Amino acid sequence: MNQVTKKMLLRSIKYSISRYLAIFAIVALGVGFFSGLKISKKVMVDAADTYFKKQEMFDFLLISTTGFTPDESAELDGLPDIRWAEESISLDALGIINQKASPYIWLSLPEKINLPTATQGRLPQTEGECLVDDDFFSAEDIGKPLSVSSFNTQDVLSGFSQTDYTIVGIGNSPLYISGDRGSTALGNGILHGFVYILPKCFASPVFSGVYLRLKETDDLYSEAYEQRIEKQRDKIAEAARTLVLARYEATSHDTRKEDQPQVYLFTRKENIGYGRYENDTEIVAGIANVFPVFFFLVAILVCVTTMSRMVDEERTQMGVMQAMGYSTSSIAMKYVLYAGSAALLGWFFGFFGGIWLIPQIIWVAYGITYHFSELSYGVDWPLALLTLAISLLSSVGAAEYSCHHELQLPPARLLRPRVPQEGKRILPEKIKFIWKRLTFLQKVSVRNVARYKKRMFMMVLGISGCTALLVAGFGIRDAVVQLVDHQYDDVLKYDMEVGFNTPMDSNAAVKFMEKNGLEDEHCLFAYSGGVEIPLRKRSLSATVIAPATTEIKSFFHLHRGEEELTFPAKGEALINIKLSQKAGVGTGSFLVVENSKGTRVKLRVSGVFDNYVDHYLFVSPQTYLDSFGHAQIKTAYIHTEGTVTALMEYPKVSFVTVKADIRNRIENSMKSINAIVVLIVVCAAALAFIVLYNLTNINITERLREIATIKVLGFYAKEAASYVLRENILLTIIGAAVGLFLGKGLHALVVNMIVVDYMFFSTNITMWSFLLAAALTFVFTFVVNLVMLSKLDKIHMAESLKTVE
Amino acid sequence: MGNKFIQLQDVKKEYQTGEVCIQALKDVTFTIDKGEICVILGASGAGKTTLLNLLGGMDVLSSGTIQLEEKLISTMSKKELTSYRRHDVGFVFQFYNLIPTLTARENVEIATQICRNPMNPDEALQLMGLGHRSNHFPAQLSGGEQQRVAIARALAKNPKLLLCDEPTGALDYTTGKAILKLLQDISRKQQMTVVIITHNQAIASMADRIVHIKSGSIAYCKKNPDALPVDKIEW
Ligand SMILES: Nc1ncnc2c1ncn2[C@@H]1O[C@H](COP(=O)(O)OP(=O)(O)OP(=O)(O)O)[C@@H](O)[C@H]1O
Ligand SMILES: [Mg+2]
Repeated sequence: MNQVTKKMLLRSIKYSISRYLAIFAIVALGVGFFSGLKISKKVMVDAADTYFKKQEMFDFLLISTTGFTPDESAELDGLPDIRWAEESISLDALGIINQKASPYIWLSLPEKINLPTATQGRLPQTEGECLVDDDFFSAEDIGKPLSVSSFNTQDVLSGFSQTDYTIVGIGNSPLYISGDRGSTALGNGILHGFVYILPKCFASPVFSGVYLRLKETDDLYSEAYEQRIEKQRDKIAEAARTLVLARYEATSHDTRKEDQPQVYLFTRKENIGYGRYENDTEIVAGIANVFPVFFFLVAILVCVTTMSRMVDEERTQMGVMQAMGYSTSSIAMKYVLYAGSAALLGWFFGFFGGIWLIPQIIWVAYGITYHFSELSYGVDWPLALLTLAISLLSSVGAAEYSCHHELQLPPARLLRPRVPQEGKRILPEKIKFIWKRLTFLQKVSVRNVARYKKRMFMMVLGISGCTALLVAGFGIRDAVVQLVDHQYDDVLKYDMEVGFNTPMDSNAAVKFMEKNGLEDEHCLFAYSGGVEIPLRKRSLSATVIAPATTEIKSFFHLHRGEEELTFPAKGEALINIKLSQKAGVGTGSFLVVENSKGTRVKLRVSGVFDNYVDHYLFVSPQTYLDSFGHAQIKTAYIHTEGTVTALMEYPKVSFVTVKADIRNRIENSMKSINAIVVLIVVCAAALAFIVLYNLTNINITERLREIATIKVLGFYAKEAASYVLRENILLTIIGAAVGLFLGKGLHALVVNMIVVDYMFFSTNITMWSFLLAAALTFVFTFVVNLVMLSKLDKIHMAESLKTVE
Repeated sequence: MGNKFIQLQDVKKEYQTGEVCIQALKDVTFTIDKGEICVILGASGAGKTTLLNLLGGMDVLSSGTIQLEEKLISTMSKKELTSYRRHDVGFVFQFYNLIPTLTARENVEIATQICRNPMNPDEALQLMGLGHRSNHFPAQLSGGEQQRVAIARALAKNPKLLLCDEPTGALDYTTGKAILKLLQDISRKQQMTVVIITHNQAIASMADRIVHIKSGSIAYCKKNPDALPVDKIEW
């Protein structure tokens, strides 16, 4: 490239800086949004992966009804694929700090698995020390005494060998990465955090559980990990069962008081924080997969229109250079460099800005729930190369494409002005009924809109894109809000779920109701239990509920849209919609269910009901008995204004779950979605501005003489502005209308991309979201029009008319 | 002289481009009477277009005064100037400046839409002999026809003052002559004041007043009592 072409390039950039900026901005926006969202999931998963690996998050947890002995634990440790097995004790007990008693979960400080970290202070080293939950305690609490309350039951108190502790640190635990600490049978039923103490502070001769860590690990939430777990689970459960049964068999017959011991195996999936974190990253990934594609499309189109306009304007210059003997490639080089450099800069700022800013926004949003570690930035080089390649290809391609045609012409043709566009009648003129109603100037606008087809197409695409993004963004919020509202107001109608530690026959049930002042219609007793639904690759956990009566409408409102569902007959089940989708089983087909003993039964699906969280099967008590064996009424769903504490005082009650608490919990975690919605709105606005501004700008420069002419004719500033900008409004109306439809589709696409197993996001979008999206689109157009108003005002008539195009 | 229609007094126009200041007009003083045809002559770059733009309220002067009847144009605000162009002035340009997306009739209509007592657009086109082409787009018309549409557009506003900047510059001899004849006929018939810029000395003989500009100043301004009809002029 010689000096002259370099100078010409720089001058082109300087004199058409808004055009250069348009390419820069749209590329930056597209790349930034895409890379930022793409990397967000990775950053989130990486942060958790690092954290879990460092803290040695468990792979399996074994629980037995008779506990485990140190020898058994050592045996498990020796299993071939097991790296470590570590005993763990946990006990729910009321603790007292500052003269206030609250329920805590007391955990033995591990040495190998599920290591807690001290965020302030340090880990306990002697028997009188403890580390507490930094979600519930602050640094000021360090040094204060915390003791096991003497109001605990004798059973609980006898579990401790030491009751008085000093807090030496606050911290977090990989077992509790979300704000959730779970429920308890104590106090108001909600745990106020964990307390880590040394194992010898517990008196228990047996361990309540054994955590296992596999020798090999995989990436967090990966398919490989799931498969590894599946492969190991039965082997390990069997080994543990054998050990525990051997001990049971060894004890003499007369000392056997209990039933045969049971062994349960849990995986990370049953850990609340672990599962929820995965869901949240999936939501982010779902959004990342759909939205940015659109931005790329618009970016490419902006590049094409901008470059063809530039080539159009510089036809004569190109002709002169060709006439002087410059080669076509050296002339094209200027445009290639112009577009390429703008795109390169855009990519640079977009990529690094995006991967820096967007994960941060998302991290802040999700930090309300999770704050186990700092965000760590990483550069995803394949992603960087991919976005760079797309940016350069589309910009350089656009430049090449735009000047290719012109440079094929002999220079003499370039020097002659372009043949004017032929005037033609347009389609709307043929619709006499509408056409007659328009004023003259409105007709002119309609004709202009229809005449500049490329611009119309681009503008409608950009504007509809903006509206669609807004609709989808607000729609995602709707889906989340609706999820909570529908599930906890519409489907689950009860106030509390009560678990009993002994089966409730009708006598016991009546007594329970009397004692708690509950009427028949306030209580629904049910058989319930967990089952697995085997799918092709893995299985889903679901809850089976067999209500004692068929009158369940005031506890569970089972319906599909407007249609109420009837109680299932023998051998039949009502299942929730997500389960029906996941298992691919609709009304009339058979669903395969695996009970806790591993036997499979087939149930005929008699109906599918709307449900948003978790999987449920409703069956009749008889079906339950037939399919799942020993049916014991151990659950009641009740309507009450009473307190949890009152219910908990009843000796047979083992736990109480308050629906409102769960609702709040889910609602809080879903608040993070607002930040994402804001991000989408901002990006949609940026998209609308870039497209509208750029195209209106092109429109104005293309029609400078026309605008100058009408100004000479005596159009006032406002009239002249509306002469041109009315077209923007018309295109906005079309674009917004198209966008509302597109948005509906986009929303459905995003919602379907969110692969959360046990949540169902509705694709309904509220009227308000549509209205708001359309209104915002008009606001964006209005702002661009305001900016353009002053630009139009500055057009100098005499000068604009002097030039011949 | 009784009916001074336009009066210019010490008109000066400077263009400031960066460091350099170009004086396009200085000490321009002359008058035009009502109903006159005034031809402005001068070499390229003399300042003719600048003068016409000032007369038409398309640009503002650096100093001096311009008056049209009682209206002081030189002190008008932007909005008043627009209003002046809208109601009192008609423009005809060398390159027609028709709006390519509008038909001939619509190009006239866009002007009549906004003024007080316009002619019927069809009438204006008929006057220019283009009644049968009113539904054609500019691209479907010849240069001369396009210029006639442009004149129809200017006339349809019923302006007090018609300003033409080299109206025949892009046309051949006969077409140019026909255009000039139209302008002369209208001026005579409707007592309309017409200002025509031209390079062509010969055209000057059709005018009632001839103004010659030489590098920004008036070389002479004289009345021509025996203006010839355009048919009689040859060049
Ligand atoms: N916008 C402007 N900025 C700077 N100088 C200008 C501008 N417009 C005109 N000029 C200068 O003012 C002088 C008069 O220009 P004008 O266009 O009035 O000439 P003209 O007599 O109409 O010439 P022609 O016959 O070539 O059209 C010229 O020297 C020109 O360079
Ligand atoms: Mg000129």
